[in-house]
Amino acid sequence: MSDGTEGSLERFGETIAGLQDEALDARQDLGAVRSRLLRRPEASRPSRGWLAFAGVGLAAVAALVVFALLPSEPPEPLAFTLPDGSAGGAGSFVSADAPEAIAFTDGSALELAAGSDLRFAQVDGDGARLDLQRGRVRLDVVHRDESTRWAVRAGPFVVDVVGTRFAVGWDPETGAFELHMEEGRVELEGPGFDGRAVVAGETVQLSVPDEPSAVADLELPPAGEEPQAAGTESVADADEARPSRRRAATLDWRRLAREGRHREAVRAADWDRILATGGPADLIALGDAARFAGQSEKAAAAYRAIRLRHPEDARAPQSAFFLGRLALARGDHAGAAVFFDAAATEAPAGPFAAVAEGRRLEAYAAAGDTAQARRAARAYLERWPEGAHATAAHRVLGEAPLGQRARTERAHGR
Amino acid sequence: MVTEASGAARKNAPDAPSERGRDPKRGGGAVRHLGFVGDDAALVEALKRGEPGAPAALYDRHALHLRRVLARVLGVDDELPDVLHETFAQALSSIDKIDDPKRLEGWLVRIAVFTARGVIRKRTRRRWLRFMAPADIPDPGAAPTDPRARLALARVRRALDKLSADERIAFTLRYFEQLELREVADAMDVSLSTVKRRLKGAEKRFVAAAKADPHLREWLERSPRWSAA
Repeated sequence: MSDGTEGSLERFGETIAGLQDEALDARQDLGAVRSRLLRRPEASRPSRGWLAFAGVGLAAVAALVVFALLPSEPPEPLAFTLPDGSAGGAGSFVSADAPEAIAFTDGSALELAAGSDLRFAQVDGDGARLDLQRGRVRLDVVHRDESTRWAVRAGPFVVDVVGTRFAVGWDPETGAFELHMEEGRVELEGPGFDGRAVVAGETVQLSVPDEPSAVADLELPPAGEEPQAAGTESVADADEARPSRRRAATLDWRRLAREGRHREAVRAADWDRILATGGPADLIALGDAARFAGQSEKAAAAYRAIRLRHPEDARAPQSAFFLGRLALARGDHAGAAVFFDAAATEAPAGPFAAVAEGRRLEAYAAAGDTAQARRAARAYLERWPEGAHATAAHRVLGEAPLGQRARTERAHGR
Repeated sequence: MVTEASGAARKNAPDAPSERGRDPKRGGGAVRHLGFVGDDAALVEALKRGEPGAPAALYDRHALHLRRVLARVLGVDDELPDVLHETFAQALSSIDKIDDPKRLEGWLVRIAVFTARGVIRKRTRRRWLRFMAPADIPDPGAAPTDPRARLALARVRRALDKLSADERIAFTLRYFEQLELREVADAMDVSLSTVKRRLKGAEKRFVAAAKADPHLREWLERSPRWSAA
């Protein structure tokens, strides 16, 4: 080993040791070990010789035989930490303002590009099923054994993967999908690409077929005319022009939404009826579909309907969060702050709490409401001192982010 | 047994226990164990005599150091407290076997390394049997907040898993804990040439694994002179 490598490893080791020290500093387990040790000093027994060892060995062999005959228990679900520091799991949602990296306990990892929305639809011991709602995710999946199973859904496309490295991009507004393979092989399913393998070095770029596929999937009778181009007709116009399709379309907008065919779902839904009588599940699904389709006003109408008609439902604060995002997108910072405040206060332990509190302080700051921004920043740091928006909170308060500075110093200058 | 009747804290108490002694609400009449007064050689003799405060003193003096050594070798995870407990339990049960009481710290490190080696091998067997998820389970609650740092630690553990237990111990003590070769040899209770041989294999395997991992390669490349390697 050259001196150069040895020197590099020493410096690399210093950095890793600094990160380990940081993790050790955060632990409060020395006192517990002390108590346990001093309470039960007899816990450790000296070796009882080779006979005892042989006995243990025989017991182990017997246990192995029993184990081999019994059905194996499913492995523990993968564990991972969300960017806000909370534990992730099935149902977790990440909306990345900045690039985020997430490591899983099986060694797999993902990187989420800024502006991406990702939901962990399913997480178990064999892998995870991710729902990329917009943006780009890069995955490095560790193949542990034959049971390893990961999948990424992006709109109507599903990337089925066993162990490999790749990136998926999805823009729900244009229907553009991209898969770039860096290593290994996956199977891609979707419109026009059913079950075909994609291998290392290949890049697949597809776009969602618009109205024709919706017509086909809804098993409608032949229309005898070409469907109009996307975005050229209103929902009401479309329904009036094709009354025979209305019932089928109304019944199937949920499926279209579930499949990520958001524009088609928005077109197929009976908006007047759903806004007037729909339950919170339908309203949130329709709002999401409209939001992913880039139809902000329709999305806001659905979210507002939840808050007006189902204010006690658990999805009401979630709707407030998305109303805040929509307000931000149109530059209404003050309005966004009000919605983020509602999302944070209505569900302080909900999955959107941390990000809502972070967005709230940013929105107040952007609106020029310094007093509210400072109040929100203090509230954020009290609950999430090392959260994703901690730096922004410190900035609002005019403080240096001490924790971050300390970590950097420890990592680079020990 | 020595006691004190005030809130003066033990100098070496690592965390919660000593903090409790400072609680002003408890007043000045609280009586706490001071543990032991004397050097390591005297402490060993006290342990052999079975003096009640001696085990606590042993823990308070050496827990931080041994936890750090274990963390270097095994990584920081939820199993670490159990391994630390096992290390001290082994030490207390075999205190009569110590050759040189003045070298208590080195003797404890050898026990920690021996315990860690057993844990590594147990984890390897567990992975093989799939009784549980892979052992490289970072503790989310204690991991660095920087997601890239978390990722780097997870990937380091993955790369270390490619080494044998003895290679891993030599590598982590040398490069993470920054021990001299002679100190590594003492900790592992082997000759200097054996340590050099294990390090050579460990470096080769770790660097190969790290270079094949884009996340780890990024961290390695931050180290000056890496490009010259």
